[in-house]
Amino acid sequence: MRTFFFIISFAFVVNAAFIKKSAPYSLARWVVEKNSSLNIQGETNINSFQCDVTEYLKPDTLVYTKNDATKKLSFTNSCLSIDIKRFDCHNKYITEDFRSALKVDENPSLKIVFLTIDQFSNASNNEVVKGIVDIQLAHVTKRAEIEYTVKNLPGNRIQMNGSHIFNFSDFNLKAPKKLAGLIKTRDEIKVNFQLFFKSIP
Amino acid sequence: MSSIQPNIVQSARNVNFGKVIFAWLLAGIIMLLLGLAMVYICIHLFPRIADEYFSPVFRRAGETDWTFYVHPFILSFGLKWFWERYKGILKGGVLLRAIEVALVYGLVALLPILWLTFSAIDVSLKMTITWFVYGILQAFAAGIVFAKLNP
Repeated sequence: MRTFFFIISFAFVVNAAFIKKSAPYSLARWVVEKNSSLNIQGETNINSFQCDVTEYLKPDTLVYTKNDATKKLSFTNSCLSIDIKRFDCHNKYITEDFRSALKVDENPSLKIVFLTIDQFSNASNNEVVKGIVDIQLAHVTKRAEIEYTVKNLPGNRIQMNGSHIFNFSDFNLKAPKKLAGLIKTRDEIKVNFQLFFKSIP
Repeated sequence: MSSIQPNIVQSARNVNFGKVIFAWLLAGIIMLLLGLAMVYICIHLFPRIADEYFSPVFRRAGETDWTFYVHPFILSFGLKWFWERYKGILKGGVLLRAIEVALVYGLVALLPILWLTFSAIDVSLKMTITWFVYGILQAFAAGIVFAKLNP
């Protein structure tokens, strides 16, 4: 009988501990603000170029659960969709060629799917955190680890800056080449983004 | 006119085909190298003009690249035919005869075709002028080769 009570008590304690561990997950949302921007820097054998999207017009929301113990954010169905036709390279020839290189007619948007962010704190001020995203372009998905610089702004707003280097060939795309290859764009491009979110608990 | 005709006939009879083919190929190679050099000069000295090659009116590099590299040999063939046919009426030293070949090619072939190109295709006047200069220099180089090898 004593043994029976001991087992019951042990089970109760274990169960309580488990409940206490699973409790610190919280669900929250970030609404993407309009002033978020993204630019792509590249080089040709003539000079360098930069293509910008300076406004984010879609009302997207990122939904995540936060593990309060590990400070890890896990996103669900959270994606930014960028209209490739809105890229402006500040040179009409390069703009048209860049859009064409990204196969804008077949696949008009660049998608950034947020998966996780590690060590995220609501009190961050220029702290660097790592996150995983999937980049979807021209029917190809490429997973990337990105370092964000996180800054908390007044009014429950968050600014996240980051950059990552990709190659056109990562997405089975061909870097633009003209005049039998004498005029060419380098395969490597650097994607920089500055995202602003409104945090909704 | 009567003095020109015998010169043409005489030059046609004295053709040495081995020399002609050698001169044709040599001129083609020199024009190709000159063309590549001029593209790189354009990239470094006139990058804004060179940027225009990214325009959608220009074909993307790919399967037809070889046609670009063959073009000096097509031009060399045409200029060689012209040289063999009319070299008798081109008087003077090597440089003077080469200049005459370049000017004839520029006025008779390049100017009208580039005028038409500019009127029909969305290319800038500056870009069209670089092509004119490029063509004139190519023909001048070919003229020097022909005047030296098949005077």
